[in-house]
Amino acid sequence: MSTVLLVTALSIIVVAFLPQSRGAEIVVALLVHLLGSHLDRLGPRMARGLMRSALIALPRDERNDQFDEWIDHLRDAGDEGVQSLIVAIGLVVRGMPRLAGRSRMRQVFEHLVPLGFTGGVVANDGYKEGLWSPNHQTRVVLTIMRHLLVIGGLGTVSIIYDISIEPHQAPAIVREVYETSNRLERILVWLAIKLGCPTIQRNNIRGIVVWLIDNGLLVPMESLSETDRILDTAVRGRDGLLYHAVRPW
Amino acid sequence: MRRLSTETRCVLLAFLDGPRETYGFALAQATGLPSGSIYPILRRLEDRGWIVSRWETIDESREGRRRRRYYRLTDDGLRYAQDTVAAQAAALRLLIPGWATA
Repeated sequence: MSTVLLVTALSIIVVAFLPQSRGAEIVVALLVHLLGSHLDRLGPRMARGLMRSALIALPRDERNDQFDEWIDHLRDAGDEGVQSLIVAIGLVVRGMPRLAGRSRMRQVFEHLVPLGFTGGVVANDGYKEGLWSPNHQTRVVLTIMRHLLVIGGLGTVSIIYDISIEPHQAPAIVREVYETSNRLERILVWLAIKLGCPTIQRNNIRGIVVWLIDNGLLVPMESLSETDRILDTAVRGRDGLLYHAVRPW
Repeated sequence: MRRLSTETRCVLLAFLDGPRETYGFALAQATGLPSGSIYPILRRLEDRGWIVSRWETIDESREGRRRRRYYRLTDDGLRYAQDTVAAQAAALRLLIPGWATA
């Protein structure tokens, strides 16, 4: 690779300082030929390196699959010389922005929407009483909403808030939250559906509930420790369902 | 439903015209679309549930190559392609200069 750089640098110097010379043209032609030979030899390796570097833009769990698919494409397209480099540039420049943009956005919405629902459960007036004092309640809800953005943006999942609901009651609660959701929350859901988030589909409340449970946002009663269970008595909504807040910061 | 791009409709048409299962490079060849455009389109179609993919199961070290990802139309995708895209086949083939029947 250093030789390629050297040859390129020499070509530029020759062209810059000896523009009128006949000899310079011959030297440039020779150097360009040398450069071409190097690119022919290094092309496939450079193509793989380029693709591997570009894949950083994708979420970690998608990188290997995409790399395998591109390598297969490269092999079919003629994995030799400059040709492979040109194909790789095409795949990366045209494909990567769209692939990465979609994957990252989907990742964000996959996290934002269910967490938004969780925030909605907490914010819902029907469940405020018996949970916290009003001021405390407001602070917690705001904290959650702020963390939604951070968590979505970083694409990581962490347990920010646990709400225990008896498992068989969870779908009804999330459905209720959806039905009482505001315009912004519905826009989020719509975007998530458009982006093809696998766990979030219209009328697929079960998918959302599964996501919440998988990520520790809905905790089945059986999994609570004895200390947590003591708090359960204070948390019963107007509808008679059991709610429980764990670790609200 | 949002209108599909011409490129996406061409890919669906290639699925209709070509073998039951196909892969990225073959689709690029069949439609004449740039290599970089094919994979984002395939992802989008997969997200919509119109195509599904599977990885070829091979011993990579023995075969000396990476596994290949195959795509095929789902029932929904086939229905949509037949109802909507097939009717536009002639026009689509004219729009894509590199079109070749797979």
